[in-house]
Amino acid sequence: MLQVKDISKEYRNGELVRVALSNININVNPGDFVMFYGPSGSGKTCLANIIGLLEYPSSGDLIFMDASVTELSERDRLLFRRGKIGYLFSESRLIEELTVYENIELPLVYLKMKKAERKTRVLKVLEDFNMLHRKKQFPKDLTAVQKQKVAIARAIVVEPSVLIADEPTGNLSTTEGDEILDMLSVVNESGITVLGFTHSGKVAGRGQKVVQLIDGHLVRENLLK
Amino acid sequence: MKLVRDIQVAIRSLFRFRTDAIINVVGLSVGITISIIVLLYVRTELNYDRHFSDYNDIYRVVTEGYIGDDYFNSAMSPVPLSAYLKNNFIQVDKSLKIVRGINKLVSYGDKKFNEDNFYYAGASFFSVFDIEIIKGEERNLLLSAEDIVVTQSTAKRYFGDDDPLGKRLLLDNGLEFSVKAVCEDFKGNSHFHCDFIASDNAIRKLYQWKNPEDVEEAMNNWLSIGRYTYIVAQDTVGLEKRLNDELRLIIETQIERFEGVDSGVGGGLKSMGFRLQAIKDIHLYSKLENELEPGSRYIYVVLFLSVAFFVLVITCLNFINLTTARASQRLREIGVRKLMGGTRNALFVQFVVEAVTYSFIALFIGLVLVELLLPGFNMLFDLNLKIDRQGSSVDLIYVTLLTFLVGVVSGLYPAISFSGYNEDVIFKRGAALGKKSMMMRGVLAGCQILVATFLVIFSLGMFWQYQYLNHKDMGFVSKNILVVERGHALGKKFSEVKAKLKSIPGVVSVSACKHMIGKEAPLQSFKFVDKEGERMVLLPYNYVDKDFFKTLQVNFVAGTMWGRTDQKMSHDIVVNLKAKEALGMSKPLGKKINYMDASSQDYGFSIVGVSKDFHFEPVQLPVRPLLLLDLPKGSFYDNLLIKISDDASAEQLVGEIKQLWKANTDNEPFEYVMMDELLKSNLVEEQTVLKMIVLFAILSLFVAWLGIRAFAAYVTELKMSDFEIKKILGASNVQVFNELFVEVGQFLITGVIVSIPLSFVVLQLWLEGFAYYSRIPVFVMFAVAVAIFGLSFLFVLIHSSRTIKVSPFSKSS
Repeated sequence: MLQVKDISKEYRNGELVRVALSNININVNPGDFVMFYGPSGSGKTCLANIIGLLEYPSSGDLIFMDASVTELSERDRLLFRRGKIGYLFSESRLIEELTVYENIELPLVYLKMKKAERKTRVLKVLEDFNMLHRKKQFPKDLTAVQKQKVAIARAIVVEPSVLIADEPTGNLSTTEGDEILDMLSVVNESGITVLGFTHSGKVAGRGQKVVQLIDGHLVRENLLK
Repeated sequence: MKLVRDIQVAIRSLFRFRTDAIINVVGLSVGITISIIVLLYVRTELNYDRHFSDYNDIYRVVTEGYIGDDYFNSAMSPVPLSAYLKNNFIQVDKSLKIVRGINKLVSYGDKKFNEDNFYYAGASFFSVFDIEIIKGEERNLLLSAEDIVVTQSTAKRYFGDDDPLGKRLLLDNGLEFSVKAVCEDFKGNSHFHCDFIASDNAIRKLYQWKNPEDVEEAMNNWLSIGRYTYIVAQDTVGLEKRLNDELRLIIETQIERFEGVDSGVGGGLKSMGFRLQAIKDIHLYSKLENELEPGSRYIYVVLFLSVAFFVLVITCLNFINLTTARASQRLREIGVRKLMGGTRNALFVQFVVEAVTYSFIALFIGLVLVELLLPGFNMLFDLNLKIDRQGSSVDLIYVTLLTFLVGVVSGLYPAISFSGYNEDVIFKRGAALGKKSMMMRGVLAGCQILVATFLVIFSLGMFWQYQYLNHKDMGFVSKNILVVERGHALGKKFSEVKAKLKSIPGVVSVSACKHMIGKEAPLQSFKFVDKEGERMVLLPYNYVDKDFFKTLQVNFVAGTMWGRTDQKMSHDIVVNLKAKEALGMSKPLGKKINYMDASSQDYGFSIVGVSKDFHFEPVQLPVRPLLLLDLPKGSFYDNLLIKISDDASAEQLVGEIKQLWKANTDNEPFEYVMMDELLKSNLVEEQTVLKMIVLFAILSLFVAWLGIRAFAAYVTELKMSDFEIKKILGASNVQVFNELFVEVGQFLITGVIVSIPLSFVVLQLWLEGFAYYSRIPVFVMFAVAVAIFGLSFLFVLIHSSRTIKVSPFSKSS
């Protein structure tokens, strides 16, 4: 469902050129749980942003569901992303002024979904995540792991094809991290392709497939399970 | 050394954040420029007549009283008052009487000029008003009836580089003077301006044709209010009361004599009293009849002072806003400085020094701008502001202190707020901004848009009223009327010249009047009999030629014009409708009215016509009752009114009229003005204030733009993280922008909405100062408010769209 073909990314600052990614090639099938693993500065976030259509590559091609999305305009990318890609970060990045319910509902609002349908979807996700009782709470009243759960709920409420998780456990303790990774597995089992990005080997081990990055180069593509 | 380093850092940061720095500095310079100019204006206004050494002790004695039931006041006072004060009041150090010789033709050889600023004054003139004598003797001036003192520029005009002393000047009334001294020109901010100061002893010569007893009587007539009286007195406690008590009897006796022994004071001039008016208050506070020059209004000083204060405060607040809005860019620097051992005090000083540096750069630009703009500003607003070069060191100290204060005030908040952050907070949580100050900033931006909207609506309202007055139906047709001034130069040839003028093709009608239409009319007491018996009223009057109404195209509602005989004054009189109402006459034709002229000659008139009302005075004033009389024997009209046809060439006609004029006068200067222009000149003050308010409205829009920009920058910075995540979650740029505008707009719309009733109330208050007004429709006020709100939407769009368009991760990558 996702093909990354010879993707490279360079950043220019005057005469200085920094290569973030160099000739990356990956194939992701529907329902995969792929973990991108590498140390700080290896190009993980850059690749996550390119796959997530938040950034343009300098060269190469990105094929999503048999269609090239590399050259899409900003607006077309936005339309493509809506409802197809979910995002998760190390910080939950919830909006402080919105309740748990409203935070989860937000992407549906941008999809211009009707209120009744939004309600059904949000309540279902909250129920699945066992968080119905927290729907009226604000982010400040939640623990870090609860916030991250809400962030996952917000990412999957649109029923995306792909969930991109950049260091999803980066701000959590080991136990809390495990809880989140368990949830990601459940999400994956529901049919959503999960692409995780981490610097931790232990976390990477939770993926079905591990892709290792070092200094912008793809070092190893390994099927673990 | 540390201070030098701080200034260096300030200048480097100025270059690093160029756009913000330019806006900051430009905002500050505009604020400082406007404040300096407005303060110069306010200082000029507040310092009227304060250049006279004794300004604290100089008073003008003004007259007020009742004629019948009509209250009257006048800047003038009776002829004998000055001498009476000097002789009977020990606390009066000096007293002075002056009188203006309006529109005098002054000749020196072939040079002839019409002069408006010709004054007759007593010998104490230069000791009351200490104007420097540049040339000639300083003592015993104006004692001889031939003495005259001229100002420096007048001397230049008449005598060029020749020595003016001893030169003979001839007046059209036959008086001749010898220049005794040259004084410096009157300062711009004086309540009157003289070009010539002639000895008032010369006035007696004008009465030579009368017998000496009559002259003496005229000079002692307390009912002849014909001089401006000034006194110098340090102690004025009780002076006014004693003066009024002492003079009551004298005045009552003269009134009785005037009225007839048995009629008493009740019917006519009921009372007359005097009031002291400090000369420093004349320009801003005096609103009397017969002012020497039009004054201003204190409300304008307050208005402009508020503008200056507002501009400065807003400038400071904008600086604070812009500086702190970019907090995240500075917070990292602060974190590093603190990690390296920088104390809070050091950081505090750094930010204050930075703000003060900005202010002084702005001051430099501001001073250059003032220097460049002041001449244009003076020309545009018809003012005479100047930077006090002699006292410029004092000015510079004030301005420097002001700038320093602006810098410190502007830098204080960023200094306190930035230096207070702990380095661990900055690095752990990132450079986050507090939300609590959002309300304060929002209210500030709201206030700025409120003031801008208010000023725009108010200036539009002023413009509306100005246009209304400009195009108001005056009740007569002023178009194509040529007013030739100093008509009296024609003397007895008026009728002859009138006939010749009428024969010029293109001349439709010719007439004349004593007092110019469009200027305040003089008042005269008239006596008439109604049901309640004999009554005395104080009414505006004018002497007019019999074709007056025809020339001005004013219709009669009853009766007609008098049939003129050239031999003597007609005993017929025409009144306007307002006069008919004021006199309570249902059938005015044939009713009798009497008046007594300065020579105590009693004239009886009968009303032969009632004209429609027309604006014979400035259009700002209500139409008052008016009595129109034929010219008394021995008098001449001052203004010729020549109506020319629409298709005639004015230029050619003026040439022909001028020729006729020259041929029938002793080659006297021909000066004319179109009546339309003359009427327009009555609105000069409104026009000047309107121009200033428009300027301030534009500036306030600029200031509001700065404010909105700063606020939008702050909200964008504050909400950036939220906007990023929203964009990741699928929000389009438009959706994110809309959300931003809602955040910003809630404050702006409040300001805009509040401005509408505020403008309405203030505009109404201003309009009530006019007898006739037209208020701008409320829907226009709403339209302006909507337009400004739309404009602010545009401001936010321009400022924030680029930030919002940036892909959420491109910065962090």
